[in-house]
Amino acid sequence: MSPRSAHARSGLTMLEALIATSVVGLVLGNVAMMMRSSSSAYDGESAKAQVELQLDQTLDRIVLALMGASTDSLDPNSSNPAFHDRLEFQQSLGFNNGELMFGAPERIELVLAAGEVIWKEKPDEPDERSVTWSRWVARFLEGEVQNGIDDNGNGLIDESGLTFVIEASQVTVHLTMERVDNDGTRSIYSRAAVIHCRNN
Amino acid sequence: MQRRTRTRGARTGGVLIATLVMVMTIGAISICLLELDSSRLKRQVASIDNKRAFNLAEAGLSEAYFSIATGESGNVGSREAPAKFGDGLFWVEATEVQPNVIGLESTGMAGSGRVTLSLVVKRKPATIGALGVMSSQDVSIGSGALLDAFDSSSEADLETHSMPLRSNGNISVGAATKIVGDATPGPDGSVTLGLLASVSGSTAPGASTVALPEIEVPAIDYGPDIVNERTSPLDVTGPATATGTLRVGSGSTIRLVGPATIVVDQLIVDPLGTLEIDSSAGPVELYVTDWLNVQSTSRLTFPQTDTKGFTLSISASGVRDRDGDGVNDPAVRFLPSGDFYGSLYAPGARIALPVSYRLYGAVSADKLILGASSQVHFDVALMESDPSSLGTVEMLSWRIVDIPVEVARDLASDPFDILAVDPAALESPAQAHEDIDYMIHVKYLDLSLTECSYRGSESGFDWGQVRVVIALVRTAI
Repeated sequence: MSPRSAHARSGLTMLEALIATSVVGLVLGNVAMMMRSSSSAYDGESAKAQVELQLDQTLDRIVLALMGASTDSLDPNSSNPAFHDRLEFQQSLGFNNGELMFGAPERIELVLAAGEVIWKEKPDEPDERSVTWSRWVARFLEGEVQNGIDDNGNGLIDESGLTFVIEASQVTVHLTMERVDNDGTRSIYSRAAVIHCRNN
Repeated sequence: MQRRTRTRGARTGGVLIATLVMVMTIGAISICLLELDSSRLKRQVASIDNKRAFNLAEAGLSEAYFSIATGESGNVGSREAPAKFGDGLFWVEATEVQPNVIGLESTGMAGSGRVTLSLVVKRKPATIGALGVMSSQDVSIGSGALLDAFDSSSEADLETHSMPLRSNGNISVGAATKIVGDATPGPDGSVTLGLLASVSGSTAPGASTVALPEIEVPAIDYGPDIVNERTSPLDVTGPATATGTLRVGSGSTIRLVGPATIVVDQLIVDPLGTLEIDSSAGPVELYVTDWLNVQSTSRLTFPQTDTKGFTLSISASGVRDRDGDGVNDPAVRFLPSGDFYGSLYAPGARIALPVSYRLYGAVSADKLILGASSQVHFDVALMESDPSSLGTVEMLSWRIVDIPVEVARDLASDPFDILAVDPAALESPAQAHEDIDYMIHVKYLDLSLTECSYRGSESGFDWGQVRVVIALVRTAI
């Protein structure tokens, strides 16, 4: 009995084979979909994380740089409602031999074409030093489009993705970053910081 | 049995392996997502810790700033015993960069965050009068002089007010001269007392020298010279006047009427000339930039006896021929008669008060000589409302500096562990200021409403016995 039964079970009918194939196909399809959505979620989250991280880091760098800057050295220094997408300044180096010392001129600027925030030391001089602090900077601040009106209600018109607004010794920095994924998903993040320049 | 075994072997195959591969793949992706989230969280925590450390370091600078404004050193806590604030800690190290310029380095630590900030400040006296009686060099006091203090703003009378006489060098006191208060020579100086001379307070040397602040002469457009050689008085009124020469001729009078800020290059009062200070409507601030020549038998008169009504600031210095007679003239020649009410300040010149001259207010100079039988009555009201306040603080420079190597080694550990301190044993920021003692002179009513007075170190005084303070003078030791 046993040998015969075992032998009879060893084959599959066409129907069994079809059902088995369908079930396996369904399972594999689901798994593939799940893997793809997981992978896509990972990529999306990773991209967002990168943008957010870069946004935070860039803003922190700008804040720390301007905090130690001398108010008198800010250039351009025209006040609100004027705004700028670049700012030149000098940082205090302390007190030496009875005199206040200031560092070389520095500049933070938005390069629109590349969507980059660039920091420069001794700008426009032969020994200029330049570091890219960030990419993915949006052409305009979040909610703003080029139409000659204040779309996002912040009091500024058609302001760029990196904007400096000066009021006496206070500088407000607005920064918007935008990244488009491979699947066309846009991630937009914005931050603002108010900085008080500590040195005169 | 063999067939059954073979059949079972044939059934344990591809599906299980495929399932395992899928589960592992999904698991790996899940782990990656978790890792991603975890690393974001770590970065956020690190960022928050750094911001907290930054704020702690800023809090440290604020404490130190306040500490200096109240006459303390600026040190708050130390690396061995930092101040605890919230979940973090900070300490501030103060260094005297140059006289009256202090560098502060504040280190804040919270979680993995460490930040060190540097602030350079300049200590300025609240008023010139608040300096008291002060000389950058030696002080020489003639015989039979009297130096004491009073309070023009208070009805309450201390038996003896603290007379802040201070020198960066030596103090020489003539015979039978009486000083009611402290006479503080420079760190390497001493007090020499003549026969029967007395100092009621301390004669201990100061811990450090005190630099007289420079005079900031107001920028005022110059007008023509002001000269009066007629018998009728000439009024000079405010609010702002500047002139090359202000000359009071012999037998003439010029009246400076406040409120006024007056800048003159040369102020000359000829013999028998009178310079009158009228501060009835407001104070007179007089700046002399080149030469003060108040000659013998001239008069300085004050219809009001308000010591806050007149400030004479002399930025002139050096000896040279100032009147073209071929003889060198000192920057200050001060030989008037009549009592002086106000503040007299010449950080770059020597001031010699004439014999038997009486000055009510304050006087400071590069070198100070008080004539025989002269009297200087320091008005403690010139120290303004807070007698303990030694001055205001001006911020010169702020910047972020490298954190100390010893605390930068391990960024992961708890700051309290790194410094090996017990959080429960640490002091609050207000308590962590470097101990500084004050000399106080207080008149008060005790708990039984009995009037008492105390003079001495504040640390030795029991404030618990005080019910009402009648009058208080406090000076940093």
